[in-house]
Amino acid sequence: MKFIKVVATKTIDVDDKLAKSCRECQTPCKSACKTSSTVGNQVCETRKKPERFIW
Amino acid sequence: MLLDVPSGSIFLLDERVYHYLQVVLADPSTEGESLQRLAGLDAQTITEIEGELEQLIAAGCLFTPATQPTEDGLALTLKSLCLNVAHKCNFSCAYCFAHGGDYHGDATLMTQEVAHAGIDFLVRESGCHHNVEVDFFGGEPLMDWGVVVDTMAYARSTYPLKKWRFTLTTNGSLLRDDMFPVLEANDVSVVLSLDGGRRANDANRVFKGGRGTFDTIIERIRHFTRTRGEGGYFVRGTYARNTLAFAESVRELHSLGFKYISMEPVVLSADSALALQTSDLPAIRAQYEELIAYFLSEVGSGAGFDFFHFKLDLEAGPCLGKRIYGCGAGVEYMAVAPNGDVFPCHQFDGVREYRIGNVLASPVLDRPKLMAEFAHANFLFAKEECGSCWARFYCSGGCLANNYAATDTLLKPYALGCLIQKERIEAALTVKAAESPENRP
Repeated sequence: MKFIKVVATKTIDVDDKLAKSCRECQTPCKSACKTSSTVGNQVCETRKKPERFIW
Repeated sequence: MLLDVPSGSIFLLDERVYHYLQVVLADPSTEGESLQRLAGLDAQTITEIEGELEQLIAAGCLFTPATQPTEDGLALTLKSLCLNVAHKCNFSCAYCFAHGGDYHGDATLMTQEVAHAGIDFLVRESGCHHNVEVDFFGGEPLMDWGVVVDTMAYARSTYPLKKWRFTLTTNGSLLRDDMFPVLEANDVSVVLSLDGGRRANDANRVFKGGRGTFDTIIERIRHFTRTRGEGGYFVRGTYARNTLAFAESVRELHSLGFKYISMEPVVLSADSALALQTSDLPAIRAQYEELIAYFLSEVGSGAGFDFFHFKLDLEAGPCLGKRIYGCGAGVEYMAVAPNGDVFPCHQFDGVREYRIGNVLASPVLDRPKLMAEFAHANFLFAKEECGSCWARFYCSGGCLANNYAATDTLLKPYALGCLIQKERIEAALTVKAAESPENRP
């Protein structure tokens, strides 16, 4: 497009599992932070590539 | 930059689109010559801009309807436990929320019996959750290393069908070489507390006698991080009013060889000399701007590092169902004190009115009404201010302990924390936009 650059679309999974998350992902506060809810910095447990460590 | 909040779509706008949207969003009825004059654009340009916007709207990426799911009281079950194995610390950091490690009580260590009861409680409550998390915290958890090791072995051998994920937060002073293989074998994600170089660190992180800790811990921490696999640690700093220049602190940590870095704002009551104030916001914004420039230049030169705030996964971020419930405190996540008392989270440890049970008792949990309050407070839209906030799907309503500390209620957000969080998210989105293939020449 000429006027608008698309960085990312639909980064929030709205249609799938609406309010019915499997909740297998990490608890937000248990990240590298421990003083705020950092859900935006997390990844989906079912879509991410498996990693040894959690953040 | 334009963020479509409900869908999480992110766009970079040409200045002309920005002017167009400013006019149209202020008064949607503006059109024709009036629109051309106010936006400073000719008719052809406006037609082209509207064509691009319509494409994005048709694709469901722009001006998507706001979603407001209803609260599901059964959505959260316990899956994560903080074992405060040590109400004791060899440091006396000026900003410590845990009162130098003892949480305003006796300096004690957790016994094996309590730790095992905590694990049993977690497994019982977590039901069919496969992934369960245990965080060894304190105080300084390495003061109770024997119980840490035993607890991991007990959890794995007693409940082998669960996927155990361990984290440990330490000041690094008691790290020994013989601990490394144990941490490695158990895939323990280790958070190392260090605020920057010597000056920034020793401004607040001191031993009981007041001596700075940097010289004692730095080589120990560097040695440990060199032995770890990719992503096995985060060096986590705190910035306070007397150490506001956190961009410099991050640079120092990076130059010390650390690749995984986090730097968090201190949370203290407003009357504390080290507490951040609203008047600090311009300085915090300037620090983020400085940090973005440094981060991108290091990434560009091949010497990149992970900065936790900038870790936004635009491909595989959490689903909406996750984003509408907060940190899980009091329902999905709880903390256990050395005497077995259960609290909604580690920051509530020691606050008597928020004790919700004891792992040695039967039943463990004895405050159902208080837990129901936490379950409700975790729901993003239960907090009036959050429902219309653009950052709502990135912080999920913030930290309940911070809300409580600042406002005496769980349901009213900690206003300064919200402003800082927005700076942080804007910075992360800026980095993502800069890294986007669309933005490369």
